[in-house]
Amino acid sequence: MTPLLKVKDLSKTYFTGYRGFKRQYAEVLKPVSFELNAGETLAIVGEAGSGKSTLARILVGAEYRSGGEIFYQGQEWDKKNLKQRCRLIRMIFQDPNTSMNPRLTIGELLNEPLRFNTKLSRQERHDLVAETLRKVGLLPEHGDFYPNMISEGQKQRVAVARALMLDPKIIIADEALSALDLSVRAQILNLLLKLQRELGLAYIFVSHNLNVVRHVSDKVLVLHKGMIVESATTEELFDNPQHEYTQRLLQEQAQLNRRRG
Amino acid sequence: MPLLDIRNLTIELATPHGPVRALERVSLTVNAGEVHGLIGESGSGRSMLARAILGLYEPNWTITADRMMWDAQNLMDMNRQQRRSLMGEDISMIFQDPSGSFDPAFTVGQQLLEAIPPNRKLPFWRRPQERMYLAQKWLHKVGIKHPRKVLSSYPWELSEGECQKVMIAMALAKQPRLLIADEPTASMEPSTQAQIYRLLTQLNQLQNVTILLISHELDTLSNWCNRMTVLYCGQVMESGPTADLLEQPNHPYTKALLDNMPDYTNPKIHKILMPTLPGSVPALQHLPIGCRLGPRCPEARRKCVTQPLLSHYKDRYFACHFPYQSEPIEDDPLA
Repeated sequence: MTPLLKVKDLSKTYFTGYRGFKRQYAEVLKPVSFELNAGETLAIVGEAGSGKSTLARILVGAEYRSGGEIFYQGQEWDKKNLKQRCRLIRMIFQDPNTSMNPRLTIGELLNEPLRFNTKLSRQERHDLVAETLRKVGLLPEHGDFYPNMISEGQKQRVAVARALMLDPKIIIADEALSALDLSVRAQILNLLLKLQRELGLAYIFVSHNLNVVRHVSDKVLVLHKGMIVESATTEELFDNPQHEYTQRLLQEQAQLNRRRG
Repeated sequence: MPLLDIRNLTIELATPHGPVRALERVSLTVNAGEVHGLIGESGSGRSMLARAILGLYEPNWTITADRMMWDAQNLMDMNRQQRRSLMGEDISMIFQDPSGSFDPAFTVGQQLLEAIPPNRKLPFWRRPQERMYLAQKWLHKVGIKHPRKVLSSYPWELSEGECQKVMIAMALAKQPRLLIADEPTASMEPSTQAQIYRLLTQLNQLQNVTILLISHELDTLSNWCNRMTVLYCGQVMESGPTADLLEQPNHPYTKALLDNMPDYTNPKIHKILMPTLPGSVPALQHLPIGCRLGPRCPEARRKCVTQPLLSHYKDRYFACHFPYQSEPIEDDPLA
């Protein structure tokens, strides 16, 4: 079986200036490879500056890669045009309060990707928006509200709805849960898990909260200074961390949190 | 004798749509020498309570309270000057967003020196040197490696964690008795978070500073507090020693919060849906009457339209008509 997404030796370098006449590059992402199957959740953990956000941004198309290949269902990712690409991988942003245009109603907000990427009629689009809103646990009437009129949890639901709009196969959540309150976070997690079960979505979770990662993910990728130091299934990684850096991360988390059970 | 004892504090906000009770009959007791956690979701009035304790009121607040005792003095009876003299001297606060609450136009050193009182016993020509020395001492104490370098740098040159440490040094410079830490670790790395919390506990143990720790992360807070108080929508839900509270929550809301923490001890329930409360936190304009958890509470019954008083059993306080309890109790409402 070919994996849904296969990443091979993906790397990213930034130009940082000249030393003499020689161009200098900073290597933010050393060659990274992994695979993702449909219905699976991959978590990327690491500290700030480890390149986890860069990886997510490259996958979603917000940044160009400097080297390596991405395969989608065995096909080369670059062969698809931009519209196809951004339909298949969507992103949930970190802060629901600032990532929404305050001048658009939620209906218009969700309508936009459809307007630019599909040939649906106005009525069809409207129906699809209502249906998606219902899918994420909101009412179709919420489409007429402005983002400032609803609560934070509902906003994050709208953000999930926006990611779902074009019927993607992979959703990338870049720290999507860390800004939320505990109870809202649990609600959104439940929603994501439910959607995964129903629609067979694959998630890429970028997070530094290892508790959440342990709960939701199937595979974990530990990044440190742009390098994968460990990649294993969740159970293996948490029960038996191999790399010294992973052990330190787990220790820190244990120190910060109450030990359970 | 508690250091800070607040009974039935109510804060009404004057809004264009009429008054709104942002805090309703909040009681809080902080004993001297403890680390007290204050937990609530965003918009539950945690910061408002902290500012009410400190005396930083907005013009549209109306504050009523049975009593607000600070070390056997009633804060409600004090005039402005007395409150101001407490502020920063006895009660100091670490504000949210450390790098944002510094003045970017001055160096950290200038701002820190401002907080250090001049020593009147010394002759005037030795005072600046003494203050410089004290500033460095405090920076060293909060765990900054190069105090001189930090003193001469601007806030935007420092990382978030360093800014937070300087902020703590500033709050501690006058040796307060109560330190209010309002979300001290928001938007920080787990390793920096652990550092800050360790620093706060150290200060609590070595300098005997009482700390009121405000946060929304129950899982991290529970590790560092002796007692905690759970706020929801401006009402106190439950209060008690941390271990007991986590062991057996009396209030449905506390229980829901605990259920919301992902549990991974059992591999069979990996990726299972977590039990959550239905609905969302009500907006300030549409607060339910009585117990504000009412519409979302699994135990709610008709009686819940009247606000339950904070009742007291052994060392714990809770405000619920139908608490989760194994033993029968005599219901003595708090005087």
